[in-house]
Amino acid sequence: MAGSGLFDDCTLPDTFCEVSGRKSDSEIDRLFTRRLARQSRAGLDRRKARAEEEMYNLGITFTLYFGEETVDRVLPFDVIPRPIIAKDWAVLEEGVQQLIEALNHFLHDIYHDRKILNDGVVPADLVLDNKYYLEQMVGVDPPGGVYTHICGTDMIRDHDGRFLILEDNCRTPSGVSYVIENRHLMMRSFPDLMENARVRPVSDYGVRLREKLADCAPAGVTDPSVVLLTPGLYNSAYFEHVFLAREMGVPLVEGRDLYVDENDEVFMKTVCGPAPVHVIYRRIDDAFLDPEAFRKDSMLGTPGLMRAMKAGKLAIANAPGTGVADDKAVYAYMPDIMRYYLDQEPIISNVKTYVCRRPDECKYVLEHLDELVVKPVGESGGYGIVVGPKATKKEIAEVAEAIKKDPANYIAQPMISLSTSPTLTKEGVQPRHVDLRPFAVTGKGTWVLPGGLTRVAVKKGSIIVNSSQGGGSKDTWVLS
Amino acid sequence: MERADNLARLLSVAEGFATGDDDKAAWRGVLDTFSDGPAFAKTGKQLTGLNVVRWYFIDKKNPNSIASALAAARENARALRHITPTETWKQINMLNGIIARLTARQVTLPKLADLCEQVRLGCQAHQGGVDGAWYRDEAWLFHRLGCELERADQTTRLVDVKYYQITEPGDDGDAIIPPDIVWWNSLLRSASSYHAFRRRHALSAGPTEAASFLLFDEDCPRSVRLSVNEAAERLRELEDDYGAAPSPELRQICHSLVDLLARTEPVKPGRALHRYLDDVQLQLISFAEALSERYFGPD
Repeated sequence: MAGSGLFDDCTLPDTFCEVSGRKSDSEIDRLFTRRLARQSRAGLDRRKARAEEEMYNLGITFTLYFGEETVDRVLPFDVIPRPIIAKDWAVLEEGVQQLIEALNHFLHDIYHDRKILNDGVVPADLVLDNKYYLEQMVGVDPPGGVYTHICGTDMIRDHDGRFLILEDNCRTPSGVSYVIENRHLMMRSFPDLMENARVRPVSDYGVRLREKLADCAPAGVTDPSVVLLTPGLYNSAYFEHVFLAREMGVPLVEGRDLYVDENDEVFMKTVCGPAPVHVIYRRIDDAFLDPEAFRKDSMLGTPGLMRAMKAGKLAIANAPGTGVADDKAVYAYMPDIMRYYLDQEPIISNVKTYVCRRPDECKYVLEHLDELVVKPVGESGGYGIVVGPKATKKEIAEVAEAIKKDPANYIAQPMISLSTSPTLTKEGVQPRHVDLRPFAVTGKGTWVLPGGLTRVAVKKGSIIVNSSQGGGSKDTWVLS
Repeated sequence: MERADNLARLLSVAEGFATGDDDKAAWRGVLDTFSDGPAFAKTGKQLTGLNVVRWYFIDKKNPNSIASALAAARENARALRHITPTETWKQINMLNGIIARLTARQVTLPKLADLCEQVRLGCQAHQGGVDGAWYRDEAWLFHRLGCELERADQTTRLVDVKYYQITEPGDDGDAIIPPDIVWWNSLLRSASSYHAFRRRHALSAGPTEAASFLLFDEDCPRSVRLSVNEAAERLRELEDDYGAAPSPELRQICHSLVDLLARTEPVKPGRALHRYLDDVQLQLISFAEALSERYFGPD
């Protein structure tokens, strides 16, 4: 990047830079070192403002409520894409497919024979006492044997640019609408930059998703009817629900639009009468899905959905009870789980994880709190995380107490320096930490969307990329 | 969107023909069109042009304001975003954003004509987008149905109130105060029908013909008759194309409304007209209720 000006201050010591770390790749050289670096700072600012205005006009927003007032905000969008070269992507793609295969074996096993628990590879209580483990799923066979139809795995890159799995999202991972909308925005804002760029397209996600969901329809259904079940208009991810229903071309329904009849068949109420439903892509948590089986007070779900699934007349994506695999303590066992079912070494490694339920590892964690990142196992969205090297003495003391009180609720990981990607900030183009959530859909086989959600920690030095904590996003360019 | 369009028409015409901010009769006329006198009185504001205009333009506490109508349209479009064409959604979202951000200071009588035009053009663009890009599914039929019913309601109100204003007080209540040219303009222009009326009718045509034009003309896009006939047609398509037959009650109300408006004899302005329009209004309300009960009610 020497001499370009724009990218002069874009690397940090001992940290992988998504652009300069792969500048020997000819496509990165052509698109970034030559094309993008020619842009002026003012030009970039202008295009960013225009892109965010377009997001606002298109309603790619989430709604904040202040009493009676509502404010629509856009997720901050960074106009400098994050590239991934073909060779790196091939490894990631294979790794994600391997992970999902193992996860589906694992989920089937823990709801059927429990071999992995009986063989002592994963502690039985860790699984069976998990709050996301559902007794109602024991012995149930989801059509096609698929539990995790949609999977979004959070990945980071170490200082050499190797991908590492940070976290699994097997319940209802969100963010894929941003992957596709970010690409639309880039194509509108930078037609000159995108011209002839060998960037793999992401726009067929909806078609692939519907195809994979149809793969998993109940036996005997030839032309399955798929619906997307949303908690409704006031859900913060409503935009994404609408987006996916449109991209798939399937009805968007709420729980009250569906019913299950006495033959355990599911129908959607329409102005033209009842219409059968075979596959539900639900964006409602397990607990609220079916008041007949789970929380009785749920107003969001539809009574009888579990009955229909058990009777083999309905596929639910993702299957209820997959949340066990998201647990941060179960995560620590993922390499063992992969070896157990597939007899293979993991293609993508885990971040080294200390499980505080193991006394010796807990002891190590308590002695090294100032070097480690501590996470509560059942939380998501970045809540409750304590970053040792950046925490105050008081915070360290508090988390130490919490761990001693309930060790099983915590894991710890060494501080990994997340990779950075050049990002347009108020101070110019600067390195900011990023992660990656690739999306994979599974039916007959697993397809990985060549792209993924790149989240960026907008604040200088921050490694928390969650949108609830001020993160933004970038377009992810998988190069071919 | 239809309501916002009608409000914008009415406000700009009222502003054009009122003698000023303190022309109480003119501004009360606007409130009367929507039976909003009591609701406005509750705000405690003085009856001035500026106060009435701001209340109808930007007051979100007034459910019958342009801002409220657009916000409701935007919420509905958001709920149905998955079947609404992208440009239609974007346009509603942007128009709502522009109006929602207006401050009281930006809404003044001299600026009103421009603001109303912006709303009207936006609402017309909406109709154009729906016409040009919406897949002709059952949702489109319901969009049309809602539009036609709202339009029929607005025109009925307009005629009723305007003719009430020129009825001679007295025992028979059937005498008309001969209206001046301003009155003509204001009435017909509120319904975008001034030029069409002039083309269709001789210069000697009077208030009776004008009322008949707005109520019974078969080709005027804002006449009550055309709106009702169009609504009936959409209802038929719902049955024929989607097998979604109306309830017996809905079918009966629809027939009766079509019959009520299929008259060749003009209605003489005065008490008879008022009674007639009352009847049309009540049936329009029943139509809307039966429609929502049949297609969107509980099972």
